[in-house]
Amino acid sequence: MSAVGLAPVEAPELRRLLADLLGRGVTVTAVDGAVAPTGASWFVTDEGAPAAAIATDLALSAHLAGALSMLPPGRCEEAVAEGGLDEVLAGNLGEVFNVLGVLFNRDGGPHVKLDGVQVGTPTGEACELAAGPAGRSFEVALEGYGTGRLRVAVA
Amino acid sequence: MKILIVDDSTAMRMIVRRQLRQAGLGDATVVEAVNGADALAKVAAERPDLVLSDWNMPEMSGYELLVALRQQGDEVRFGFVTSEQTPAMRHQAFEAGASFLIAKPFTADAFAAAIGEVAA
Repeated sequence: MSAVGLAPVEAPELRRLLADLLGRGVTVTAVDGAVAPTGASWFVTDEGAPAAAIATDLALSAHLAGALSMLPPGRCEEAVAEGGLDEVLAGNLGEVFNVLGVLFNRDGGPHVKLDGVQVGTPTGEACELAAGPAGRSFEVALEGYGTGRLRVAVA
Repeated sequence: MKILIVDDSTAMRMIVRRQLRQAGLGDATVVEAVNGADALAKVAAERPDLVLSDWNMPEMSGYELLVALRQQGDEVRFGFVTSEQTPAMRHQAFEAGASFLIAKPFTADAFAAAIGEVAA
């Protein structure tokens, strides 16, 4: 991605955003290493320049999606055990990604919007970005649900 | 009070309902619509006191819904609940007749403040 000049995402702002969205306790810790993506989303500027990408592993994808609409945590665990998200969970995860776009829109910076979401076996630029060195990885624990990993990269 | 929630995400409609309850509007009658076109029909049929609408939706956006309502002479109170809020969007919304914009992710306090002002 060419440089758009977005500031890197920090753990406290990610925690606040997820806690407000989900209405529950959230812990976010910076960790090393890549994330094997089940969910991926990418964001562009109004001019269409790639600006940011977020990837979530299977566990966090399932737990974020379930917590969004307060589905039983057992349903999220089932999704993890089965290795994939059903249609409802996938739709919820897309909405979580949509709201996470708030992370990239800061006063004085370029306007960034969600351009696409992949759930299942994501491929393409968002995943390349997630696997690359430009991203930051976080372990995210959702109170009452579970823990998983998220990687976010900005251009 | 009757409130129409317009969002193409089932989860978001549920969250808005929850926030309304937490904002002290648990007694309100809530009607839901899945996009602007659906909402346009439900405003006519249900006559809500307030419309809370997402901005980006398939078929008809929240902004297009607001414009269509005002073109019909419908002055129902209207607020946006959206994850995107550029200055240009805010200007566009207020020019078209919106009363407020609430940013996702929203809190019960944000709902109480925005809706309280409108209801006052």
